[in-house]
Amino acid sequence: MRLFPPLAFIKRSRAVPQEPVPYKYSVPLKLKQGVSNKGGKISEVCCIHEMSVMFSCLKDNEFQQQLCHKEVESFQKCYTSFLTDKNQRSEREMKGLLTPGEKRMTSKQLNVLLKKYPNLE
Amino acid sequence: MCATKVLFSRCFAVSKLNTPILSYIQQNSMSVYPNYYIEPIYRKETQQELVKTGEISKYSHIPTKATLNGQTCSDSYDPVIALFTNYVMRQGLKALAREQMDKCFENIKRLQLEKYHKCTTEEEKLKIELDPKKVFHEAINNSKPLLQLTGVKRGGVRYQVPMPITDRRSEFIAMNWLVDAGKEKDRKVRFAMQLARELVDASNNTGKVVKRKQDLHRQCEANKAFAHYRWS
Amino acid sequence: MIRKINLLLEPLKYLKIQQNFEARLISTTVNLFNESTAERPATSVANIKSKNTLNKAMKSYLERAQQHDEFMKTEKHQFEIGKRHLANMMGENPETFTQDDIDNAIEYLFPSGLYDKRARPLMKPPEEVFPQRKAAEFDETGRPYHFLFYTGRPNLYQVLHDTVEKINELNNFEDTMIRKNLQPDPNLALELSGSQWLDKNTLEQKLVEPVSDGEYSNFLKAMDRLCSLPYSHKAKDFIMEYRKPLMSNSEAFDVIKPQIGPDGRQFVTTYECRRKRAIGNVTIRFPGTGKISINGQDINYFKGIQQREQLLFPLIFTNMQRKVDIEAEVQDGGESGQAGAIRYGIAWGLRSFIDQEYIENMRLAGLLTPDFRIRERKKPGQKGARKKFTWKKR
Repeated sequence: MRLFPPLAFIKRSRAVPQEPVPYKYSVPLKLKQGVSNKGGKISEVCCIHEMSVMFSCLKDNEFQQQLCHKEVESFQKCYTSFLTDKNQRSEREMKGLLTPGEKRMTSKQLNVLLKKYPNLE
Repeated sequence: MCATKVLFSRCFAVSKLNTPILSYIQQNSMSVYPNYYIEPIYRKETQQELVKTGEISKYSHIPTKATLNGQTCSDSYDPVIALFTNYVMRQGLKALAREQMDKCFENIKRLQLEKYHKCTTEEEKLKIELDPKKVFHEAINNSKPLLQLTGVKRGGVRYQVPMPITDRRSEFIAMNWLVDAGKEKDRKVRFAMQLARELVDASNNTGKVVKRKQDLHRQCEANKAFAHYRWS
Repeated sequence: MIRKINLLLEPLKYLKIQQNFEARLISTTVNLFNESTAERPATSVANIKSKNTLNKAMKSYLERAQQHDEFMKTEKHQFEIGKRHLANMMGENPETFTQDDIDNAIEYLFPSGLYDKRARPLMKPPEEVFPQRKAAEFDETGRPYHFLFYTGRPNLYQVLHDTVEKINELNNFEDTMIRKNLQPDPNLALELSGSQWLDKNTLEQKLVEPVSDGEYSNFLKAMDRLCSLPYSHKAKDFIMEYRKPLMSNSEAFDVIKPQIGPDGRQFVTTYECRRKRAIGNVTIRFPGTGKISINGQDINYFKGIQQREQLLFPLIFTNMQRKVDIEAEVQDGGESGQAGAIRYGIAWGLRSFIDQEYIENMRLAGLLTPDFRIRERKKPGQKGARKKFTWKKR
């Protein structure tokens, strides 16, 4: 009908997206103030050098321990010092303390650090 | 008396339930004693040493646990021998284990005396240790392994990885090996006798137990390439 | 608002902060809040309505606080009267009737076979029986008495506030001492080895406020930091309020006075010495020659050498083996149990005949601690006390 020419001009096609497309996100794009605890333990392998030195000595002496006194002692010393370090570190971690200049930190310690110095927003 | 009646009826309402275990309320579910109780210092020498260093004042306000049944301050008490007696013991028969240990020491003495009297020179006689307890300690020291093998699974394969060992575990393994060696014998030979022979051999760095230790070391050496597979 | 105050208080819990800045900040914010609530415009209807409801709530709160006070008063009065009646019944002097006497009297008059001690009849002062409640925390106008009221837990935060104040004080003191080139006196150093921090429940009771796990750990961290300072001995009274001793009034040093026997010798008897199922009485007679009799027999009553060693242990430890005579009666239990019971009895009785320092040595040696370990019962559904039946997957 001629009375309603505007009908012809009413858009009935599907909505064409505008450029640029506005991105809808459910979660704000910000870094979390923490680290995931899933990573897994740091594998600590110790005293391999001392062990190999001890083995070479034992092989030379046909596995007679008395002749390899020094190497055995250094190997045992290495292990005991390693154990005491490990205990101290785990104690500190339990309390949430941090040593300055630490090379490796567990996820728990990293979270303590990040709480003190959070990521900038 | 009405006060008591009222209080009695109301005390049920006020009684508190057990609180859950928190990190700072340290409860020892396995022990009769609270966790701040310290081990008793039952040796006179240890106490005197603490008095000298002045450390004894640290313990003046801390309660101690009761001394165990087997522990005394007497000179004849040796904690290593007491521990070994426990490993010898089966089905909780401590008296029998003690009896076996006494017989074993007697046998060691006899064996050593036999050797002593067979010696011709003074030099050889000096080399023979006649004190059974010293023989025992020497045997334990010579049987302690330096490493242990643990199974680590990588890519579906279980590798035997050599790993350092603590002193206590090493001692435990040595003692168990000695008891095992005492058990494997001819039917006619008694445990006490066999154990005595093993102890004497071990103190001279020969015998089954020392061989077993050396075999373990050889295996560790063969597997040293896997040492990197360790987790700690 | 409370959250903001909590955020402000966060730095209080970490240490080495500037002097009282945060404290002043809190007090100002609290004052501001007070001012805002104090000014109540009486113009609008809505405000009048809110004022009435606020007053109603406050009124009922104050009423409840008052009721509680009155209730506690009547209970206390009743307790006092009851105590006097009880003293009269037992034939004791009402003036010098202590709480221990009350406990003994109640145990005698109302013997109970119930296992749990807390379920048995008791008569305690009402403060111990009824949970403590706080007095009215604010007045009729709504103005709170405590400056930290709006934290929700004023007493707890008061403690933290005090801790931090003390830390700052001690740091300043240390600075002045350093300027004078003085070192802290090691003799005055704080001795904390014989006590431990109050556990969470005790702290809750003390503060009459609920304390969460995180807050409790913060409290401990703050206190630990305070104790780690070199001049912490100056804050000793404050610190000791929150510590409880590990060993309560050493019973070991309450020595029994020896009696005189028919033969003129001093003797001490220890009754009901127990170890596992064995019960015994041990009598020690002082100027003696080292005779030992157990149930009328010699030391050979015990077949095992270990048991004989156990008997001689306290005697050899104190060098009294030739100076006393021992007479023991023991029944029930096995060889080791009987030996353990007699050992405890000997050690306990020997205290009367040796010097104070040797008693301390015996205590450290573990001779004066009764061994309460008993055989653990078998549980239904298991083979033994701990051993389970074979686990079947299906």
